[in-house]
Amino acid sequence: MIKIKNLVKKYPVVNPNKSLKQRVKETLKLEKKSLLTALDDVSFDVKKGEIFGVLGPNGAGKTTLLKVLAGFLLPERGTVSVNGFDIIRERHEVRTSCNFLRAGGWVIFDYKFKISTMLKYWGVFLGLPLSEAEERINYTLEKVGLLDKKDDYVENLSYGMRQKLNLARCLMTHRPVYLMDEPTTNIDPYSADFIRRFIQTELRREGATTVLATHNLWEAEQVCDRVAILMGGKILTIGTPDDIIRKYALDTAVIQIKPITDDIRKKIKALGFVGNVVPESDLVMVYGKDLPKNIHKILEVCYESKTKITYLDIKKPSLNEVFIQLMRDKNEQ
Amino acid sequence: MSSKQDTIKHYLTFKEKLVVAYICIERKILLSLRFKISALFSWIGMFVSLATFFFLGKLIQPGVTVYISQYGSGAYFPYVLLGMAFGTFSGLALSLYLNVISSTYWSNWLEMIFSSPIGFRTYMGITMVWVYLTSALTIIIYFLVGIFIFGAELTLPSTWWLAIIVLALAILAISGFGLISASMFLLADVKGGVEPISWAVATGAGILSGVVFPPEIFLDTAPSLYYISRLLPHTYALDAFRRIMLNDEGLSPIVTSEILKLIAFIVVFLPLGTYMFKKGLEKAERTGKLARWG
Ligand SMILES: Nc1ncnc2c1ncn2[C@@H]1O[C@H](COP(=O)(O)OP(=O)(O)OP(=O)(O)O)[C@@H](O)[C@H]1O
Ligand SMILES: [Mg+2]
Repeated sequence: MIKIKNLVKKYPVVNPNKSLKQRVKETLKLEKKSLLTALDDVSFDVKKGEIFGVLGPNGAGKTTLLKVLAGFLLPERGTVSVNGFDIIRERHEVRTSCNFLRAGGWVIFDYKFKISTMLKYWGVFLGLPLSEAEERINYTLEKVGLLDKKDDYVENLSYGMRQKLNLARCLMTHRPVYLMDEPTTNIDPYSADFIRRFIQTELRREGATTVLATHNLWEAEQVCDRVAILMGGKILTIGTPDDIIRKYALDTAVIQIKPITDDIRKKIKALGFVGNVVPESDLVMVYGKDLPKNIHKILEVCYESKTKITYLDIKKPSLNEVFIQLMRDKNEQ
Repeated sequence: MSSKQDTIKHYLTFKEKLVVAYICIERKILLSLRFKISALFSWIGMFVSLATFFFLGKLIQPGVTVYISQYGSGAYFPYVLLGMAFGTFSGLALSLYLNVISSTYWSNWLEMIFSSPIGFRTYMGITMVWVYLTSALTIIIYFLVGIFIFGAELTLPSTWWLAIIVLALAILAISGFGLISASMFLLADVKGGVEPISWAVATGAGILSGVVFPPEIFLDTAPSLYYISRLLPHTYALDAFRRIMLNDEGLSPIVTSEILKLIAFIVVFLPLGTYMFKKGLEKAERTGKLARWG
């Protein structure tokens, strides 16, 4: 559904201190402009019906990627096709294949129009027959929980309500690709949960392909089939949330062993699947791969050493921890 | 829901486009109804300017007759009435593109237009038809007030259709400058304040091209200004327009020659303007400036 190959996007750097001479030279292409690489050789595919998450710190290039996919931003290099259309040669078809939800209260609105009026205009504008647009107003407003605000003016909405209205606009038309830039930012937890479930159920049922940029890693873990972690325009890793977690992070077992000796600690550490053993007051933290499956081997060590286990808890790492660890590693490099 | 998935439309039929046009126009009317007071004042303003020129005409008529004797009886009031009517259209041709691009950009509609199956060109077309038709209506009222309240000596010439053709050609010729001016919004990032190209053309045309007084006036005192006026399509269009409206001229040698000059302006500036406008959009697509932020 979406194919991205060797995508490179560069922005000109705005430098107010540039001399006029330099500007003229750049315009005449005598001198190269200084550029910021927002996407650096990005390649991946998104399958039809998949919900794909794009994660990364501020400025990683998430929005840039979505804009390229929506056909609003021409890349410097690479080939990208969306819904079978090339984003350069068939830009119009790409644009009309996508429902693009822009980040953060980014609302198109006209001075002093009612929400229902705006939705009607958007619907027709996006290609719906007038009667169908009018019919869908209530449906979409109900879906995002704004039905009681139907006759309110857009300018009087709160930030989160504007974001919901944005989402309602996206739901007016059926398009095969949904591009969502931080759909739940500024949305209260209850509504955010509702939106997540909507993406998971309704969009899935429609068979829509969704690319979702988000800072909420828990959300990505819940909603997305696969995610890519972007940093500085490069893909650090890509895969299902589970795979990524397994690849980059170890499970943690918190164990209370009585009595605990250096000898036992060494024996546990010597086990193949264990990464590290760290004592913490009267507990030991064991970091290792696939601990739920391997924990019995630790128990055997304790049993052979004739010690008792009085407390045991295994924690699976979350995408959040992996993400923070990855960022930390990158920044230290 | 899933059954509707394949109804995705990339293009609209003519009939469907009409529905979009209807919606766009309804929106424009609703928007303008929000500013009722402003509409009222623009009507008052029109009346005031008609009155001003009416009395000014009484004052300057004896002196001005020699300069405008080639148009009808040489009366100043019908002369200036036609100038003002023309000025409305030429002003639109110059400012409309910039207006559309800047208003859609600032209200965040621009990306919406691009993701709509009607596309930018049709949207622009709908806007143009609407704006020119409503302006034509205003102009007709303008004429009626001029004729019936201020007693302007104006009758509908037998060659009125030629006057419309001249107006249309003038709009096309000036649109070239309008497109160049609009492309500055995207190419040179002129996103606020005065856009220098349209300002220069509008100011130049306002003073030099013969909207309220004939450029021949400059011949005695400042001949260079007269020659500058020859660089503007407005000058030729106004001359042809007045000859048709006031002298009932058809395709007389002078009118024909003015029309040919207008066509020359169209041939040069319309493609140039279109090219620059396209380049401007392309630059916005490259630098991610189709939308204000995000
Ligand atoms: N139109 C633009 N012109 C120049 N530089 C830009 C433009 N848009 C984005 N950038 C730069 O490109 C980089 C990537 O920006 P982008 O908006 O894609 O990040 P993001 O991952 O969406 O960040 P956030 O999480 O803050 O939304 C940033 O360094 C940003 O400053
Ligand atoms: Mg972003």
